[in-house]
Amino acid sequence: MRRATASGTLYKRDPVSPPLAKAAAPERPAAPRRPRTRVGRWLQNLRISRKLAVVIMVHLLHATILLVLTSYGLKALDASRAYVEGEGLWSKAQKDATLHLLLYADSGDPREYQAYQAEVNVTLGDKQARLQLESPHPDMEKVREGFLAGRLNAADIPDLAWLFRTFHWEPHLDRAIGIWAQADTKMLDLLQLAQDLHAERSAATPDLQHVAELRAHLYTLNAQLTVLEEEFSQTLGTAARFLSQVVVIGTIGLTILFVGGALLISATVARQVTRSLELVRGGAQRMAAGELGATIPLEGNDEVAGVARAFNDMSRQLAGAEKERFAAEANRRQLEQLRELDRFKTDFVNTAAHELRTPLMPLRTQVHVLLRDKKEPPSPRQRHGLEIMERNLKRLATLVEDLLLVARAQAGRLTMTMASMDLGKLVTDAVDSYQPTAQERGIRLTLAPLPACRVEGDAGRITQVMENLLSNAMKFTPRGGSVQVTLEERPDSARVDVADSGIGLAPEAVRRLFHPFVQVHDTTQITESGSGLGLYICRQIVQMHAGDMGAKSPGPGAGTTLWFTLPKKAPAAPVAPAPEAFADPVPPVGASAPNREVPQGDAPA
Amino acid sequence: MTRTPTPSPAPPPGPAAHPWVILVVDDEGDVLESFKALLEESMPGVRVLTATSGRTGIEILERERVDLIMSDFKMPGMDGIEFLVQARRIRPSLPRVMFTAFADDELARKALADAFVSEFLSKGTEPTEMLRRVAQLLKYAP
Repeated sequence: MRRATASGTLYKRDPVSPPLAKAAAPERPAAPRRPRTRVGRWLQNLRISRKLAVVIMVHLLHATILLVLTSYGLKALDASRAYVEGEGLWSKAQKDATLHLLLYADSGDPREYQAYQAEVNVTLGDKQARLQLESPHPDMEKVREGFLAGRLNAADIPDLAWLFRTFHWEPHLDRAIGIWAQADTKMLDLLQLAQDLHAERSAATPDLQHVAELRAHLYTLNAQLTVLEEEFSQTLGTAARFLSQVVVIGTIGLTILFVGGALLISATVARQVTRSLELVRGGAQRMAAGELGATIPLEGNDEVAGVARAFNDMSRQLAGAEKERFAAEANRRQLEQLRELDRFKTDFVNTAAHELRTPLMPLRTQVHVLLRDKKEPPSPRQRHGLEIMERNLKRLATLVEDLLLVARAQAGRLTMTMASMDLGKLVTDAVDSYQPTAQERGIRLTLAPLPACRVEGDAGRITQVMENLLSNAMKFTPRGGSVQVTLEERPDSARVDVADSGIGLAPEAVRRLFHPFVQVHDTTQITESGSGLGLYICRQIVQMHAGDMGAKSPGPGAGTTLWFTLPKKAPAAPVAPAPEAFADPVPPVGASAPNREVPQGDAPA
Repeated sequence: MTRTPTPSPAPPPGPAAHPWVILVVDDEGDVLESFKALLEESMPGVRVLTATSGRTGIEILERERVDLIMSDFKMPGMDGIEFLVQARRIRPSLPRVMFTAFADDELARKALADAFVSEFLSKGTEPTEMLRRVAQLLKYAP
């Protein structure tokens, strides 16, 4: 009955609201509820076909047990009936035997005695059967013989024996058998009495007084037996009634048990399947509502759970694909932003270049023209002013060009046109072009004998580097000093050293030399000033060739050597210049000696 | 290509006085004027024709004798490359120079590829260097 309400709630869970409303707002999945009982868990793991088979098996078992129970019950009742019949025959035989004995006592007719003997054999046959059945190993042939003597139907004999042995424990039957044994004991008295009577009647002179006594005793015995017979009948009847009650109650009980069990299992199966399907529907609805990756929290091992697992796999895959799509989208956006930034940088560099160079160009050309005007030469005062303008315009123009170069490098817009070139010739040409300046300044510019050395590189840019290094060396070398250029060829690269005997550098200054906008020398004393970008640009150019650039100096006043290397083979992919320089334009200076890198006094720098 | 200073028998506007004629196209008046002054005063015998747009430049090119074409890139209307491409169609044998304030390798490549320019001259170049390069292109020998 309890199950009936349980299945009632099962259907109550079905939504009363229209399904559309549910689809609009898919409910969160109920937490997976584990079956409380072991049977429930076992059932959940069965496939649906097996679950149905279990229900059918329960019904089959029920029917089988009922069949067995009914057939045994009927058999027992039939045997009881046979016992009642046997008791009837037994009683009749006993009564007839008593009657013939009475007649024999009165008449002494031996035929009466013979009739008595025939009747009394019936009770003796039953006794033989009973004694056999009570023994631990009954001889069934003797049982049969006894019951046949007791005038019982041969067909009833197996059931009689079965009931006796099987239900001996049953109190009523046990008592009936006890009464039977008592009656058999009384029958022994009757037999004794019959023998005594027969002896008296067979005597030459029968003692009639004794006969009368025996006759009276016979009455008493008969009366006692009648009581036992009635008791036996009643007890057996009670046993039969009890048996039939057992059968009826057993049938009803088993039916209730099995039908109830089958209902319980069916309801459990139905609930599990319905609930599983609801969970699957919920998962599908959540996915339909856009929740990719929605999973069905389903346990068990049946077909629905298989569907749920397949759904979950699909869901996970979809979610993964969606995630990848999102990531790709994010990447694409980021790339777009980077491109945007790149475009902006390029635009900025171009605009800056255009806007800075355009006004400078007429300024410089006009000053140049005015200074060199032969028709209307400037007055000494004008010439002096124009010369100052020209010098500073040049300085400004150099700064602009350097800045633009750095900006182009930073924006990745500086490209190298790589070609095979003779580095030896390039260096020679650069040195030659600086010889006039060197002579003018009283500096000895020498070039070690050069090997022909071919490298791949941008000749224009490397020339720029060479000129920068030479100009730098000239700037910081006093009159009477020397600048020595050497080219060294190595297996895979070439190295150029520009060593001057100039003012030298403190170790701190060597470190900072290649940072942008850093001027390690006091600039107030020099006539031509750099922007502080020259060496930075040189190093960027060399790095874009996959080469390296550095400086060394034994210390202030001991000269400086700037060197760079170039690989013989140009890098296949363009090399980005080191970006660290702008991030940290002025590195921290040692607190102990903040000014050491700016040598005072001895600096023509 | 060699321009001999010998005058032609029927000279148009004084070829003897100006054996070398340069056409400069730039939308900036100051730049044009300064460049013209630089070239004409530093290089005797050079005459500079100026135009403030590509269109005017083409008209001059169709009308006048010119030995070297120099053009700015960024101009309203026709840009420098378009102008030089058209100029090449009219006078294929003339050396062309892209003369610009821009500092873009890509632009230089484009000028080279589309207009077959002989030179890409930055406006940031020093005046003396500019003169040297122009003289080289003109095969200037006074």
